[in-house]
Amino acid sequence: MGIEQIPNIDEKREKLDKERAKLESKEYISDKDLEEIARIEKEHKQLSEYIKGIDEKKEGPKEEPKPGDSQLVPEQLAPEQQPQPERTQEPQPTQQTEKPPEKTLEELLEADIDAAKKILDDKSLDFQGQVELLKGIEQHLSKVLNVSPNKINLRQLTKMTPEELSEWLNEGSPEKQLERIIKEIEDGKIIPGTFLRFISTPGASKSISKILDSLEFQEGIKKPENQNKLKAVIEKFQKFISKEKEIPKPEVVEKAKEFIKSEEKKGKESIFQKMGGWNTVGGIAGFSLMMFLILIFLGEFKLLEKATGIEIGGEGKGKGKK
Amino acid sequence: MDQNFLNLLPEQLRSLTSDLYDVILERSLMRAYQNLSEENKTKMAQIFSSGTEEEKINFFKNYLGDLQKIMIEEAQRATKEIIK
Repeated sequence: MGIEQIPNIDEKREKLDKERAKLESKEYISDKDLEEIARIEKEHKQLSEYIKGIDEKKEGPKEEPKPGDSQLVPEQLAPEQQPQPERTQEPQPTQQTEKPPEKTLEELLEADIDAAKKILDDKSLDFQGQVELLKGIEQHLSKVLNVSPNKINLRQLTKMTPEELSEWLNEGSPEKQLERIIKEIEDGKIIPGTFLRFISTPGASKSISKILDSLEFQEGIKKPENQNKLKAVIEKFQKFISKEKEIPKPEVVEKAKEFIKSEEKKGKESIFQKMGGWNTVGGIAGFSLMMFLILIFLGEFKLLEKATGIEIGGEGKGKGKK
Repeated sequence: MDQNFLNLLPEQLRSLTSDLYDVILERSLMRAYQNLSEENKTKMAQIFSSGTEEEKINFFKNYLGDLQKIMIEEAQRATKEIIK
């Protein structure tokens, strides 16, 4: 991933430059300002190193620099040090048509995850700095995988083993994962990790929407026996909800809840989305919980098997068995 | 939250799921809050009364990072309590 493919990094750099210029233009520069300038310089350096790291990872080992060559990437050089294009050294036409070997999806995913790990491990980066950088990676990965950046959960991806990543990429289709979750629900042993992994998989919500939209579900839920069961379950849930609402909670918990809910209502304008669609808390938590509850309801009504064609406790999946 | 998603549910389930989400979010936050040190509880109270959005997000990130997992666990616990 080159610099031109990470627009947020350019933006971040520009922002840093402006901040520094503003500080340096002051008549009196305080100690605090000096500290701030040092922080800006450090962040600038980290950005350059980060970009350099990704480029090296993707392009393979570079030629040994010749004596006297600068170790800095062009962006780090002062304007007067910027390399000038030399007409005599233009590449031959045959070189222009040569393309570097294309990276596999696994390699691209691995490179992006390595970069994300570095960012997450870098304690000197503040939260906003991390988010800006991760946002760039998420956008790149979303282009490569052709999915929305919101579907990429880098935090979870960085915790996966290479085997799990490969499965996530190749075999961990939402349908396959859903099959596993449905079995867990039916067995009454739901593993949160399985579900959290599922929701970070591109296409997860679509696969649940598909169930809800299926004729089997829509008709199944209308059956008199299911309607009676639905009524009984709703009553139990309502009783639980009223009981829970009576329990006094500290004011701060109420405020935190209201903050999450009000941000979620903003949708794409929420701070959760603005901060890189970084699936931390809020939006994705609410959304994933909703999906989780829906699956539990469906499991309770024994409609999952019918709606998905997944034969629970049988020999796997058969779309025809409805 | 994806409202379109909810629209696929029968009416009765739709409002129930929303209410249940509210309760589970509250229970999860309560659990996370109880796990905080006294100092961080005070800090959280200050931030959520007069802090900026960024400070709130930072607090979530630094001290309530597992909220999503807690919510799934709480949802599981609640549904078990209700259905059994």
